[in-house]
Amino acid sequence: MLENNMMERLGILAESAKYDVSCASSGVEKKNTGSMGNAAACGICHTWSADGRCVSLLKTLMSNDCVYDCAYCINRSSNDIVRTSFTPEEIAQITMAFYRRNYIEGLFLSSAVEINPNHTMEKILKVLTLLRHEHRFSGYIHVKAIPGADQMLIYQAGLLADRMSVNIELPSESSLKLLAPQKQSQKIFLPMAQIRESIIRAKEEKRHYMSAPSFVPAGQSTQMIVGATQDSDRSILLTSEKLYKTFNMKRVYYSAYMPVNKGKNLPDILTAPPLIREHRLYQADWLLRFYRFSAEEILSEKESNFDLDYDPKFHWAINNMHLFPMEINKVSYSDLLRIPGIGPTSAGRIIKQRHLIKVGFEDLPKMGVVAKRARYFITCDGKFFGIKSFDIASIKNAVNPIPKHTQLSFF
Amino acid sequence: MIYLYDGQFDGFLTCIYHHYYDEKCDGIYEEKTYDPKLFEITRFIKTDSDKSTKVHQAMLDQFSEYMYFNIYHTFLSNIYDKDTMLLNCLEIAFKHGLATDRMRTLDAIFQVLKIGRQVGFEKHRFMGLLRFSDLGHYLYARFEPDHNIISLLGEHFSDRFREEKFIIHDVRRAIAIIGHKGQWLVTDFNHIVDDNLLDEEIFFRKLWQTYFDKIAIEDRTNLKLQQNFIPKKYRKHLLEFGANTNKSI
Ligand code: SF4
Repeated sequence: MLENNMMERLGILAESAKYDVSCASSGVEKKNTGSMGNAAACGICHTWSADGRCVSLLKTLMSNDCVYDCAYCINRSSNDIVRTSFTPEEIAQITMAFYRRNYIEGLFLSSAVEINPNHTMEKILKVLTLLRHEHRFSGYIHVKAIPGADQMLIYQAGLLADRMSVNIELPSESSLKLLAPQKQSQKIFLPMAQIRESIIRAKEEKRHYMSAPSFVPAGQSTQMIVGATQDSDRSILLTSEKLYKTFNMKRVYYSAYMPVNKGKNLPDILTAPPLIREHRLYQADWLLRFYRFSAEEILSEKESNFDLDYDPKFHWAINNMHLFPMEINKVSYSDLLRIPGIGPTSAGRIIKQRHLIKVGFEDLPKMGVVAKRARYFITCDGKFFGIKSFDIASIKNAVNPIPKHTQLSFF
Repeated sequence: MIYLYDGQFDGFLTCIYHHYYDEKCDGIYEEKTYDPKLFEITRFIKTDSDKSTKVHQAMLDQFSEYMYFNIYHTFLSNIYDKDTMLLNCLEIAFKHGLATDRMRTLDAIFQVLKIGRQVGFEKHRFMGLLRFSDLGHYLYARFEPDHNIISLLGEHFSDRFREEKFIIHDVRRAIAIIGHKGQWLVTDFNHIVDDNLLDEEIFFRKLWQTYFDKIAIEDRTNLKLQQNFIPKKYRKHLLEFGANTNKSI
């Protein structure tokens, strides 16, 4: 059973999957209904890799033997690399062995397009069937839906998986044409729409019969690569907003492009991955999902990219100083959310407490407010605790002073 | 007056009962670890489950779930003064009931919420960081938490491993959860578990280490960030941070 080159193959296939960023196991709370496994709504990290990322799932490819030739991908068919695959039995076995030892929270299975989309999707479905039926595994499973695969296969997979995702890969049609000509956006959107429909239908049926099967209860997500093309932050954010609205995405993930290939349409192989940009996109994404911002507000037509030195919310606030300072004991919940240094939890606490006693400046840290950020934008019972000169440059400098080493220049 | 008790939750609740119905106290400590101060008068309170049940029921009736769990979590913490902190918190909470939730800025409440959170955080951390070894007849995990969180892990793992026998062993406190078929209990535990591992166990440990090494993206190496998430003290029983592959962890 334990083939000796399993080690080697897992090395190759896990390494190929590592750029896939969605690692979260959160989003479903479920009890064990089989023989082994449950899921906690808050998500559980089992360890942290050397790059500081939370490891929660066994994240691997089924195969890296791809018939497609996407320019940005290490597994593209024109690359000369070692090709290898797992059988569905092997994936199921490793998942169970890791899970029992509490190394992982579940499985995240992706794959290159091996032979054709249907063949690949069939293998993914086989893994799901083995885990759910043979091993009676109740833990978390996230699988990729392969664009171009038969609808029926995707549907069956969705009945067994907790989450499914179809990667949009790049933020625009033109970028797809340029770098992944075999993937048309229509083919990507089709399974997204199908998954959305099936989720809605399953929820509807559940309302009538408790025993109706659920369909990807943790929802669908997608991912796009940032920095492989010329797309601006604004167009990326607008695309995300559309994805959330059109397909009820649970998450859109962003992955800073790591140059692994040379190509005339690609950034130079020595380009550093745009990590700060990726970070700003995640922050803006939070603003979309939890802070009631729209993409248009975050990046207006006038500016197409983030200020890398300041987070998007602060940036927005600075550009809308006419709205500030806000009185913390008066403004609505949605307005509280717009104040830098205040999040949904602290806003909720402020609302709770101010019914009873007025919130003073000294209370803010206990509410979880980042007071040194918020102070420039608020009054507490009429009093302002910011700096004397209420101008943008001084606030910017107070919040994020330009570090000394960038002021000094050796050349 | 300082009340001393046996260290069990029931014992603590019995002290609270006496505080209200017998004689007011100014502090509560576990007898075993109490550090006597000059002029402090102490009295040992014997655990009485009738009394503790009454207090417990009053807590369930009057407090929010949020407050209740923070109180219980704080009780499990390894902080020397925790019982006295809880006494101060309970005095306010029994007066204000559900409205206590809105008083997080009062020091007596804030302290308990803060410690409760830390304990809850450690529990959550170990839900991920516990590592089981398959010792043939059962799964075995060893750990050394700061706070006494073992009882908080029982439900999660006994549900997860519903058809397995398992032991979770807090080595420093010499207690363990024994779980089987969805049932579990916490008990004193002093056994030394033997280190003869099955080949299969060693194989999967190595496979895990391979996996762990391969998934890090070199261009993004950030050991400081990794260290923030997983401080050194938590690494002792983790294979991926150098625990011995050939011994039970
Ligand atoms: S289909 Fe996927 S694995 Fe294949 S080349 Fe494109 S991105 Fe890479």
